[in-house]
Amino acid sequence: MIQTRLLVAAVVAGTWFLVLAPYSADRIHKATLEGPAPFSVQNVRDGLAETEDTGTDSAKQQIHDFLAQLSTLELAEEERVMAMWLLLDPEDLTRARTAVPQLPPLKYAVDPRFFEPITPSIIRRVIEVYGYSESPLATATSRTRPADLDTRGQLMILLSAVHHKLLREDDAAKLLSAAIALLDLQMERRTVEAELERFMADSSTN
Amino acid sequence: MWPMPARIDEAIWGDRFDAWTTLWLIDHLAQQISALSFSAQTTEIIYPIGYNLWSFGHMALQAMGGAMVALGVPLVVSYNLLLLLGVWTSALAAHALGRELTGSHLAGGVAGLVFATTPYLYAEAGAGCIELVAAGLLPAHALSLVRLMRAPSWRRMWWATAALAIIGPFNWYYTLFAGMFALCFVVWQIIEAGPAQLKSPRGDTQRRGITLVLLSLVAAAVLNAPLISEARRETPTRPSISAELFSAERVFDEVRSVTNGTMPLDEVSADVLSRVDAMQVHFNSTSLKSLLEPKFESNPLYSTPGAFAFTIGLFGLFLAGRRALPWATICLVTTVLTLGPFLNVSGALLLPAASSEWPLPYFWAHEYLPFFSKAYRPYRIAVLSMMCLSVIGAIGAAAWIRSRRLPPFQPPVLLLGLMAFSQPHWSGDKPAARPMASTAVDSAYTALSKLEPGAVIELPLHYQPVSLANAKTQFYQTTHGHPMLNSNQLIRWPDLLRFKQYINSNSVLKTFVNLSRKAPPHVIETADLQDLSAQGFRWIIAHRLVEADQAELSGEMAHADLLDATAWRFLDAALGEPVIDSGAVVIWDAARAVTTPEQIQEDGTSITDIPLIFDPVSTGFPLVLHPGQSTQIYEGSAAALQAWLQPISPDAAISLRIEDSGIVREVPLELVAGHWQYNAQETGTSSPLKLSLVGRGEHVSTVHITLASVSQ
Repeated sequence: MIQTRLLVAAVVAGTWFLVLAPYSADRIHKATLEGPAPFSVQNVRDGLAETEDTGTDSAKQQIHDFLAQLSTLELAEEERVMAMWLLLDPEDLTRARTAVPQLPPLKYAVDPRFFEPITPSIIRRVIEVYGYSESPLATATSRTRPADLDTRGQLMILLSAVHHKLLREDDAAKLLSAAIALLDLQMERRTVEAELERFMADSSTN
Repeated sequence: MWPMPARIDEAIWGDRFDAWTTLWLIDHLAQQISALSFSAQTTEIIYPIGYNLWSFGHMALQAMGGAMVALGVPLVVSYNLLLLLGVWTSALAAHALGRELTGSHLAGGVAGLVFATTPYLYAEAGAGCIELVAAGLLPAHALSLVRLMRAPSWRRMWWATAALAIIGPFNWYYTLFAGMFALCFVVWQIIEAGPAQLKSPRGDTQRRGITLVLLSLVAAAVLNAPLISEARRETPTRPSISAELFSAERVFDEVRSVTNGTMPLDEVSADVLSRVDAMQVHFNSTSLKSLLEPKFESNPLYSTPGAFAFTIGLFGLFLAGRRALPWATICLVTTVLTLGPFLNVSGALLLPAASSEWPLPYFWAHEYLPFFSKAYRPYRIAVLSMMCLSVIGAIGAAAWIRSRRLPPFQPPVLLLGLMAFSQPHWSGDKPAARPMASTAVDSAYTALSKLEPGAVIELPLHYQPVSLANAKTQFYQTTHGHPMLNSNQLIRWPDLLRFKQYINSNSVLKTFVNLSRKAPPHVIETADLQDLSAQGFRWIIAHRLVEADQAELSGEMAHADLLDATAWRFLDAALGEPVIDSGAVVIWDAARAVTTPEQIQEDGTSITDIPLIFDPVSTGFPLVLHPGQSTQIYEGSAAALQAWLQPISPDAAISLRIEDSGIVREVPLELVAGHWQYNAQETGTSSPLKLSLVGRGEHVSTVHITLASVSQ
């Protein structure tokens, strides 16, 4: 009888501590990371395109100005990403792309200081691997992004190239300079987006 | 707790502000014991306002440490011995309770090792709250109640009274928890006997037992009555709590700015501090996620009885059956109470709005039960859950031991002991791997102890223990022996409001508060400086070498201890030549401070900040330089460069390269492992120049650099 109870205790403890509790804790953790839906500039664009009521003409004009500012910044960011992309020859790009799954978790995954985690991770990793050295990187000669990649995908491959030390030292200095410029643009975009969000919130309140 | 015993006289296991405060309290009580002069009021901290020692809410254990020190045991040794004593007495008391309930030493051993090896106790030890580690009085009190119920007598009633009454001076939280357990125990005895039996002659023993248990509670309350007003100093009137408050981002930001000392002292009010107190209830509540993954956490706020205790409890419940049910019920109740007033599923700092619809039992108890609000840190109620789990484990072990069908229990208990005591080395955060905190004190403090009497002000002056370096200043008093204005004990609102009132009466003190993070201009009236001297202040201390805090890796607190170039220039202008300069610590004599002009102002106009991308606060990026690699940080004219540097790689070496009209010089910058070092390097030229940092280590040099500036 007592052996049965011991066995049942082992099964219950095993099921709880090895399966149910970790599964539930993991679900909670993932739900926490999802968080509330963020403010989306795309929604504002869609609203304007669908002539949704976004307030008076002057308000619409201000929103247009914000959106134009954001578009300019996004274009500038894309240019910096392409400039960095072109530093790598196709062979190294392929190797870096293959090695993306081996990257450690992003250092700045939940850092409120930054707009997104990959660019600061690239900067940090360049500094760590190659030391701090900057050199100007010329404007990108091509703006054509590979069809199967978005900007995030390109940045992850660049991070992989840095992490796996596929760059020459002088190119690493250029990449660092461009990544810092990209970070500045992102921070500027974050400021403009925050202003737009405030403006939209004020408009809806009024 | 290895390797603590190997470094018992030079380092402590625990590095939060509580640890340094406890060391100070032990030393202070030792002085009183040596002098046979006892007073609760002291002006040794928060001079000249003073502080009442009862506000600590726990002194008995520290007084034992004080007695050891008075008998000649070194201060750090006595602290570490008290910590070890706390763990072992907890184990022994739980063992005694387990043995009383089962009649078996072996089963009692299970109770002892479950109770003494929980993440809760280790986390509190890591935080330096040794009075919480000494939790053995709780099972000791439970033991006295069990014995009283089994054979009621006046003698046993007085033992139960004494066991409860003595907990108070050791720790007021645990007094409340012991009272909570006693009430649960009485309810259990009434339910178990049943009203019919209690009324019948057969229920004489139970009736008498219950009556004597209740009498012991009343007697303990009467014995502790004179101390209740003193105990309220530690927990002054508690504010009401609400889910809306815990969900409000504005309140969260406000509370955080008080606790990290960035809110201007002028804005700190009774209202704000009542919200800070209220939020403590939420911050100190266990989350559902923490209970689901009861890991060995370093942070006591996330601690629980732990997976080991829960597993042993579960096995005990299955093996012992009905006999363990009352203990399991009390365990369930107390575990639910640890969840605090509202269910926080994930442990989020801001309570999700949906939680407000489901107040938990703690909420009603906090709002309506007298004295319950004293338990404003719900996670600590876990100590009762631990006690119940250890007892359930003991009862289950006894069932095993009595069984003829199971193998002998000695090998399993040995295995359990090995597993339990080794947990900090392999489980969760592996707290045993945390470095111990050195108790070494800079030679400047020894030199200060030999100077004339006079009170001390340590800069920057903070109204909260915002960093490790700041928290240690109170400990340094055990070396220099002068009264001081600084204290870690401004965490209670009546003291903080008195401090604020005092600070606002003097322009020097107002300027000194948060000097490290305050934007210039820094302005003082020289008459106020003389006024401070008249009040007994003499020695003003600032640090060029600051112990780096692991918490600073998050960035925002790094500047709390670091005085920038403008602040140093201001101090030099106001206080003149220092009387002691050890390189790490600078001490000025306020009696020699300047008396003219009437006002001293430093606006920092001749100092230009150098914004660097590699800064631990703004980006967290390190500066990494390979041997010989350099990076230019400034071009223009500069008489000196100032910056705080912290080496990250073990053999980091960095030089400052000064290029001026074709002449290139290199000056090594000072780096000290584990510390922020202030470097102020004169360039020796008025011509335009370039300043670069050069890697001069044998390997890669990784450093943090912050508050870099040049002065003209």
